[in-house]
Amino acid sequence: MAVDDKSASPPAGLSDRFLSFRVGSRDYAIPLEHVSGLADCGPIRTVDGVPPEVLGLSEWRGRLLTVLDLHGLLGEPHSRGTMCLIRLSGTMTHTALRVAAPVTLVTADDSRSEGGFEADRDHFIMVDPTELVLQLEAEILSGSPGGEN
Amino acid sequence: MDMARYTALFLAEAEDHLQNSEEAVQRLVKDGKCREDLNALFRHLHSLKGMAATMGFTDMARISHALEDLLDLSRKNRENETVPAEDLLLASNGLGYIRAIVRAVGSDRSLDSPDASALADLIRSRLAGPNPAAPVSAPSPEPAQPIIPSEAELKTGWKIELRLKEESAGSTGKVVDLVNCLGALGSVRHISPPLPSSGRSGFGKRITLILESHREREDLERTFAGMEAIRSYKISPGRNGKKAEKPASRSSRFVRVRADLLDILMENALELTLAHENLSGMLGAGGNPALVRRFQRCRQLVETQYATLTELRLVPFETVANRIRAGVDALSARKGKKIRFCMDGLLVRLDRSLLESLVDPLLHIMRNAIDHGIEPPEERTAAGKPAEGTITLRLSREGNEVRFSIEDDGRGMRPEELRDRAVALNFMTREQAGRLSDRECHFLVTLPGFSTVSRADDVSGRGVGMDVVRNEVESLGGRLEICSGPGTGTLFALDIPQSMAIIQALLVRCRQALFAIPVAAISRTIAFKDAGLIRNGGRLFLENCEGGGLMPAVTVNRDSGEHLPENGVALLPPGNKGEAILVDEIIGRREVLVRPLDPPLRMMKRFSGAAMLGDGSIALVIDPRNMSAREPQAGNAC
Repeated sequence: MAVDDKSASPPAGLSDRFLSFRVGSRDYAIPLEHVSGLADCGPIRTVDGVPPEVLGLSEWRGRLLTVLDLHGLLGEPHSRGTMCLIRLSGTMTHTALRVAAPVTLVTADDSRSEGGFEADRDHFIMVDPTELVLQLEAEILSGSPGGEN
Repeated sequence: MDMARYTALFLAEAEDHLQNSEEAVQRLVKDGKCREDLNALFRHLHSLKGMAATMGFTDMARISHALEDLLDLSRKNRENETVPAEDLLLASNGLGYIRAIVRAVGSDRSLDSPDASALADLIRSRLAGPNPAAPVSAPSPEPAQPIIPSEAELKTGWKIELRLKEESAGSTGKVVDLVNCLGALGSVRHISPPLPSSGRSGFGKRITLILESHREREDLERTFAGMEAIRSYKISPGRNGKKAEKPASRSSRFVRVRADLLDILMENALELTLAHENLSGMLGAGGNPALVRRFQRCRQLVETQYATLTELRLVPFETVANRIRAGVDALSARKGKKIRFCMDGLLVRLDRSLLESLVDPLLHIMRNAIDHGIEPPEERTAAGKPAEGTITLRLSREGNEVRFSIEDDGRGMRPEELRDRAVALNFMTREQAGRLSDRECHFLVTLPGFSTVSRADDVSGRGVGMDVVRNEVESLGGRLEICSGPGTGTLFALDIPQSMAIIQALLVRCRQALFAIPVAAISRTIAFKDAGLIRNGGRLFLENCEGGGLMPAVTVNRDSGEHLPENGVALLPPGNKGEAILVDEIIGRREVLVRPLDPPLRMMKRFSGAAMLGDGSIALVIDPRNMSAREPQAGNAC
């Protein structure tokens, strides 16, 4: 699983802004540099023969997004609440992670705890979406389950 | 051959190469050691030379060729990796000259160019110097002629006398910057003091320039006011007191647009189409007639906008085919070779920017094929081949890629000769060369500076063309393959992923999910009940479909074991080679815009992309070549 250990500090030079969200009983965060925006979760066209974490394709403002189930990727139970999509950036602008709302922007200026942001940041489990996607690609390639080779 | 109709393309591409060349020069001025910039500058000059030669602009070809020679020395001088500032200034002047030619072509006027040979001679004289590529440490001899025409030869333009600030005086780099800035206003036709007398410390505080330009004095003043290096300036009209004529408007018929902005426009138009469909559903059949009429008009406009944008991006290959043919004809005539040039797949439509990026690489391959591949008629006859050589360019769509194959029936490449050449050119040791496979040997020709001939001319021979081809193909995310056999010819295959493509597809349904199958992959359809479906050894077969035989069959869903349509339709492949595809029903034939799949779905080789339909639904586009990939385990239902 591409999730940093809680105690690990974020790599130096990374943005100090994150999108945070709660899955199960834990708080996770994605560095904002991996994110291009949020979107509503519309109908999803499923694709057979892919790992269950690949939910399928969804249309968003004329674009086709590949939607991944972040809860499943994090090994957490599914939520029945309102879902939203975190659209990724860089070479994955058409890939989105579905997660239960709300999603909150956390910045260095936020002081949600007395220790300030640094203490706050350690509270989150950092998620690296690139790693998650690469892992899924490898899974599809290796044919497990229903992958292609 | 009438080349005039290719002028617009020439102008657009020359502008690109010029801009990139000028940027490379500027970067080299700041860091003369950057080989990447030097190689890039070299490639752009090579392209400019090739384009000029094809179009018959001999002066432009001559200057580009001379500059290539000059920079080639720097490239090959591995001991001293710094490009001498004087070479960069010459390059900058040469580019200014080329720009003047391009502008003249764009404005339909002839260029007075008595200076082409002077500039070329000057570059050559630098080449002939004792150690031209070494940094200049002593003043060079005075040139026989100025770089560009003297003021007396000048017919139009502005005379500009500049006084540089103390800290900028003596810096050749500053002057290069200055010439580049002025290049945006017009063509620098004269610099005083002349370049070669400048030496390392080059220019003093005073520089006189003659600028051919249609700009107003105020434009020039604004430019100079923004230049930090300039202390003061004086602008006076050229010899006849007139500024240059404003170029005619031919080039203004074209506007260069960023491809990513076009993508956004395209996506917005698609969104508008979908929103309109939704509104249409809400309006229903019994709406207010006036509203319905306006709504229909609105629909027409939306559809027209979408079609126009689609047209902007997607063009058939035939739009550039004539240009490639013209290049082949001109070059083969010049080389005295008889060549039959065949093209296939002219109607394959692909993204305009993709196509434009590939024209130069294709022309480079053609040039090499004509110059080095196809033998002279007498040599061919002696080898038992027809006197006329054949070059074939084929385009075909292979899944979500377009394959460009360029094949000639010439002399081919001999791996042993390539190994020898690699050793002679110090690319590797004899031992390393010996370890190369034949295929790896063929790829040696794509190394920068690798050439199989010892003398370059204005067509090829510098080892630049294939370097350009490989770079361009890889930058587009594609692959290059080279197959060659001694005496039998060479095949270059460029596999390029399509960013977008419109295909004619059969829209089908299977377990409520929509799929699009390229029409080209289907020869005919039959109902199951007429053929019969049997299972044998875990595989499906259609029986009695063609002459009573069995044809392997697959479903579009991986979980074929769970779902076999009972009264479905089988889509048979052309020539009955391959597998029949089983679906529940055929919805109809549509033109669909195929979008590539993003990570991680791009790993699903059975699909070449996905298409959004007018009602907002999504169809996966099937790649029939990969339908027989390993059969499924249980997966998600569609």
